[in-house]
Amino acid sequence: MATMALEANNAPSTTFSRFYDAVPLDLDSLFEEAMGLGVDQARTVLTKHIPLSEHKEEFQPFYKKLRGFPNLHKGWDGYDAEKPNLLVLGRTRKVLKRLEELNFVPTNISPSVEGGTSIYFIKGNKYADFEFFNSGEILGGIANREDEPIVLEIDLNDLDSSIERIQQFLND
Amino acid sequence: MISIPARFRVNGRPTIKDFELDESLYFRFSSEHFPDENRLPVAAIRFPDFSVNAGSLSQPTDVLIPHWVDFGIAVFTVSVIPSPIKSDDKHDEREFSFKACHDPIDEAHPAYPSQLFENYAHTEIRTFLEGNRKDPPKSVKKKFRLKLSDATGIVGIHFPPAPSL
Repeated sequence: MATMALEANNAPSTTFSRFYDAVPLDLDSLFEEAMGLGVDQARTVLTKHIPLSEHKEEFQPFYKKLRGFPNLHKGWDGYDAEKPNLLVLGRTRKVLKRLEELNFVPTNISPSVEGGTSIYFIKGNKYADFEFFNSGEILGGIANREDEPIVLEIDLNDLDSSIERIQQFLND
Repeated sequence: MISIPARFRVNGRPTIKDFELDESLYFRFSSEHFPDENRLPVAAIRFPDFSVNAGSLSQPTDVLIPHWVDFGIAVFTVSVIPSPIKSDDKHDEREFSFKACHDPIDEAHPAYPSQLFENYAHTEIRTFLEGNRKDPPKSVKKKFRLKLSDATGIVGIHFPPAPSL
């Protein structure tokens, strides 16, 4: 169990990193374990102790931004937005990691004014995104400034099909 | 006492019932959303109800007052506010509509609770279901935001400091 490993290991960064690497495999259960650590420590585990150098160069800025999201304050958008919660941060990282494996580089990532995060792609007039809400929902969207936009329901257990849909949209 | 530009004051002026279609509506966005390829991401678009300033009653940079000088400014017109959107759920065929409602502020500002802050240009984009204000499903919200993102322009970022208050 991750909590025991953390207590038993005297090299926190290594242990944190090992724990963090396991997150995409079973995010929700590991999230529960992480919460058992206490929110602050779990946030550290999930967002800070992964060397950027372990990621492909073009993805490093996104992981770096993701690390900064826990430092946002309520109202960071100049209105009343909530900052992304721990579940959202973990899920965002999971999708980023899969995109990295597929070498499908997004345009950017950002916190969402609706409470959560977004990974988005822009190619000319075409726009697509994954949006992770603090409430637990994940929705995607595609739009091209002409046709009716399409909302995608994202299932993390079938993530590749959503990624493929977005790739097709951007490349058509 | 905070000194604000005179145009912010309500001064007994009436609430506008309906804006013209070419009315510009301004809002600010965080540096987290400084645009890529001159497009504001959907993550920067709030869902109604959300606040904007009516362009005919204000200056674009008024959305940076009192303390958001490092934010960007975006704009859309009343004409691009999405037409009614139906829920995608086959068990829920409700249709939600959206409208820009003039909503002058004449109250204490959150940043200065002991001071009176007025904003005559304040307008809200609101959601309605059969004439009543209603919160729709997330899929409707997402489609609204995608549509509005398609039609939102960037006025700019890095403006000179707003007038001191």
